Amino acid sequence: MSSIPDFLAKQLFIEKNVVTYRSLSRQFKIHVNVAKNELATYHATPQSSAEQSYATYIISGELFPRASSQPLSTEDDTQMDVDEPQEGQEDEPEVDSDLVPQVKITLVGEKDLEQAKTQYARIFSEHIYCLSPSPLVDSSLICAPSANIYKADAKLSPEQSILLGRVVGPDVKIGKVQPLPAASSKGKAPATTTVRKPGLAASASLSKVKEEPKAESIKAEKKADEVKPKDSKSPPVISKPKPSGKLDFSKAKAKAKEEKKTVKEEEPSEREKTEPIFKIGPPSRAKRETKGKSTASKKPVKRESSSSATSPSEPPPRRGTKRKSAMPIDSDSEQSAVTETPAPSGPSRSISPVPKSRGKAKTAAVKVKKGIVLSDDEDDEDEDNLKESKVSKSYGRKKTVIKEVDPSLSAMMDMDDDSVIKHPRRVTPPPPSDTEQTDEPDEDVAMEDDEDLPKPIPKKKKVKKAIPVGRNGLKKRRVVKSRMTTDAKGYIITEDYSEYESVDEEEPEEPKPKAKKPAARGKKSDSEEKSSKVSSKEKGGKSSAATKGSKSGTSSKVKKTMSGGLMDFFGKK
Amino acid sequence: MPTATTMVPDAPKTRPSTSLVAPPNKTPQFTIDAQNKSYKHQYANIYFVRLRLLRGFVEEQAKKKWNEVAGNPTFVPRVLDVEKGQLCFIIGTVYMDMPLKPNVLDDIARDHSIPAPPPRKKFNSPDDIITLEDESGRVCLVGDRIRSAGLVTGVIIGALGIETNSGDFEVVDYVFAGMAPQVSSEWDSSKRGEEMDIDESGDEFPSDEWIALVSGLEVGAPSPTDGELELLTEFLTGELGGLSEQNSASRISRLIIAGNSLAPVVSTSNSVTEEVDRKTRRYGQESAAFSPHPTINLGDHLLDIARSMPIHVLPGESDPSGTILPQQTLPRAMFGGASAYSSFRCETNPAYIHIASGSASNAAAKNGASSSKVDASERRRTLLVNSGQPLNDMFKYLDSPPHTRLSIASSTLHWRHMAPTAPDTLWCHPYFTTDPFIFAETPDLYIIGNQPAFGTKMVTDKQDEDEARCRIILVPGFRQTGTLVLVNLRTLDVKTVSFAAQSMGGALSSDV
Repeated sequence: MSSIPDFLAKQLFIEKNVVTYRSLSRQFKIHVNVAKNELATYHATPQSSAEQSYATYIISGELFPRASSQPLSTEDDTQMDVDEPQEGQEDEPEVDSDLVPQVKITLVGEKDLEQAKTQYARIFSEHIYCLSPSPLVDSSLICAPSANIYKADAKLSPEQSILLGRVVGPDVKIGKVQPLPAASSKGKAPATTTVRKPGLAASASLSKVKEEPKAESIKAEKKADEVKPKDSKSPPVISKPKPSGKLDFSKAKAKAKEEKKTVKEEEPSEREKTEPIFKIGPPSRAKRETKGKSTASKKPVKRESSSSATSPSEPPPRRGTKRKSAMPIDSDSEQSAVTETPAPSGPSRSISPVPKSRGKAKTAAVKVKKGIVLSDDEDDEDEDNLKESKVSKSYGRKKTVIKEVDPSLSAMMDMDDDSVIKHPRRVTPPPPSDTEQTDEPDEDVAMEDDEDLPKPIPKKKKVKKAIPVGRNGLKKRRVVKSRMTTDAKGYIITEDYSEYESVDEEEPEEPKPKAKKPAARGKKSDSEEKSSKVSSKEKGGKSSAATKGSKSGTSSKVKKTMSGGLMDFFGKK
Repeated sequence: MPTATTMVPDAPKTRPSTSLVAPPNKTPQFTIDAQNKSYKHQYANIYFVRLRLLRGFVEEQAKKKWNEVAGNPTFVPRVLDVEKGQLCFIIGTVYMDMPLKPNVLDDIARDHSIPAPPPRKKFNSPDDIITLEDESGRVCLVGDRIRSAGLVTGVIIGALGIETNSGDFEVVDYVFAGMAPQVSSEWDSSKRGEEMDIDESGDEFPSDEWIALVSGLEVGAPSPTDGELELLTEFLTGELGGLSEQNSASRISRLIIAGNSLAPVVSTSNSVTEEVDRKTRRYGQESAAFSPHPTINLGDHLLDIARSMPIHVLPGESDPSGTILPQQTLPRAMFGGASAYSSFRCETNPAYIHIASGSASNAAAKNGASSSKVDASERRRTLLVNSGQPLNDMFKYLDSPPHTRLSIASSTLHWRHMAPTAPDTLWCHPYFTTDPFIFAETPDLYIIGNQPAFGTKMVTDKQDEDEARCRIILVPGFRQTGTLVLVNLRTLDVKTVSFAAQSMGGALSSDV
């Protein structure tokens, strides 16, 4: 305790701080009432003239019955409470109010202490509030030590703070607000969300597949459809069998998958340009944001085809897909998101899609052309692909995988062209009306997607679209936005679409190559059909070459994406 | 300065415990969920629903009141079916046709090259026309009696009178729906009833649960009251003052903040230029145009208080919330550390808060056994809190000398509607199938925030054997008055504690 005077002297006259009883209490872990007395003791102790401290007091008590408001307000006129008199006069009419006991607590400097006391009919208590190196001219100066008090309080346990004088109620609890017993609370289906969490990783993916079907099963209507997807999924799972091997390939495969996905996604998006486009670039975001039904349907198809074609490669893609799906999980859109997201496995990978997409883009573009649906973007993509292919270095692994897959893939691709073309057109335009049905399909799709993920290898990726350049000379980047529309049935549908947005100079262009997810969602049946059709002949040859190119590009891009990942996340919206 | 030393209490003080209980099913909910978040409905539905729901009560009151009136008045179900010269009574919705009332059409037709006139403090004028309407049509009400009735748009009344030759309806008498039945008017009466009788005036028991009410903190206002707010915080945490203050503070079991915690955002002058810059809009807000400091400051104080007691925060007019009633809950994350406490609750703007004494587990147990509801209701209080917009709006309709804010507030109880002027001059959500502002039951405490001055009144209404009583409390804005209102949940007694800093200004500094 002996150090208290020293502390006060230092605070007051060296650091020129205001010391309140509260800050003193926190500083020395003493009861606030003790602190008040310490302040009084220090103040009463004669000091040298150089060390003259000024005290500020708290008076509490009852004012004189009616005089209370009047004298105070007049005095305050000169001071700070200019508002009081005016309003008081205006609203004096609240005369019909019941009279209630009024306690007034006044903060007053020592010079005016006696005068302030004269207002009180009865004084309950009076104590020193703070010491200051000079008289307080503004009441808000007493808040100066607050920051330190908050810091100290944050470290105190409730028990300790009680010992310092805080009165803690028994009802004070930390935690989430709990709904009142009877009150209806908004319950969100936790099961699906938990399953999808990112942490689950590869092992979780299997469980996810299973769980998803369950969720879908809840929707009794399309159980049959669900069963089908499950079946398709199950085979790929089996094919995955080599976990260790998967790990090795997983990265490469995942990339390939991503590429494929991106390509697929890009294709639909391009086709549908007018309609919602999803960026694959940041997977987590894309997952969250992408509710596009069209994308889901398309993706699944592709994935399925890939999975069927490339059974060996499948396992790694799954992982990637799983992770992605897990990340995005948001209540409503989760399922759809899962299906969509699968392509980009990890956040870092998610970035990679762009490079991959280039290689794939070529294939995709070609396919698209055959299919008839051509988008403006295709040309751009092709160019990009070319560039990328030149750049590609590290494709070796991917190429091999792709080559193996190619034949089956090519078959898949053929299927796709027809189906794909139709789907995007159908699906995208009527997004609002589809909403009801879409939900179920989405789930199915999700299931399929998991299986499909492996596909990535065989598909050629589109090159990036030409990216518009902003006024500042930096390339614009794609941003996924969502818009709400109301469909014929009065349901509100949220669509995600991407747009170019100019980039701040400060920020690197990181985001550029976000793969757009296909926006068109098909019904389950559509998706299934697509999957079967997906295998394309074209893909076989082209895909291998494209993939090589894409790989090299991807690796470099991946790094970029990883570094930029967080920025993307915050910057997109 | 000789100051009596402040005693250190022997043992740490504790607060009485109160818990929230779930509202009975008939209590309206002000939360607008996703399903109802539609603005496509017409407001006419609110009036239709309101009339349908309240007509029965008004008719009942009218028949009871005018049963024995000479002339044997008949009830005419449709206002347009009234026959001339026939004494009868009609029921409908009051519409005040006021020339000075803001009118959207005027607003549109206005010459925008001329600055708009400032909003009026009062709408009323001698030219006002009181009309009564129902599904069939509208009839003008005339007569001194109806003119002095203090009516506002949207009230459902029954009017007894005769149609004059000019087609107006000369009103002889009128009735309202009357106060809604009250579910919980007793607070543990069995236990302490006797003591109360013995000691009527000083009936404060250490075990009584109090709640604290404050509104209009307006953190961030141009002339801040940070010092007073700091005092308030310290008082609530039980650290300020001597033992007597600390004792009274320790009986406060929870704090209700009735709106306007933050001052309206004053946009800085450079906000316009910054808006042009795309950079500032990238995150959906003008980052540089406002300071987050008020929010942080408020959050710090709330955290400080939240460590001591549960807090309920309502949004208010100046808070960053929607402007239409019911205002939805403020986002918890806005309040920083306080949001970590489950005992920190964000409420909708009008909000029913049901409080029971005892710990939460107790109440939950009681509530769980639905059959034992009687037990629970014995120690239960229903609070209706709003941030003052309905009353402020109604106040514009009526002349102040005869009518006061308290009298209008008590009228709303008799009207059985807390915000009749919505949606006429008070913005509200376009409800389609319900009117949540109707009193399904009379609350024990009717708390109205952000009023210019403190006021309280006990309103009682005796109907048959049921007596409904309700304490109205007008909570003044803290920034203007520095007043905190304390209510004893058992006795419904009220007291105020006001905080002020005195003589802090030029005078002192000049002396030195």
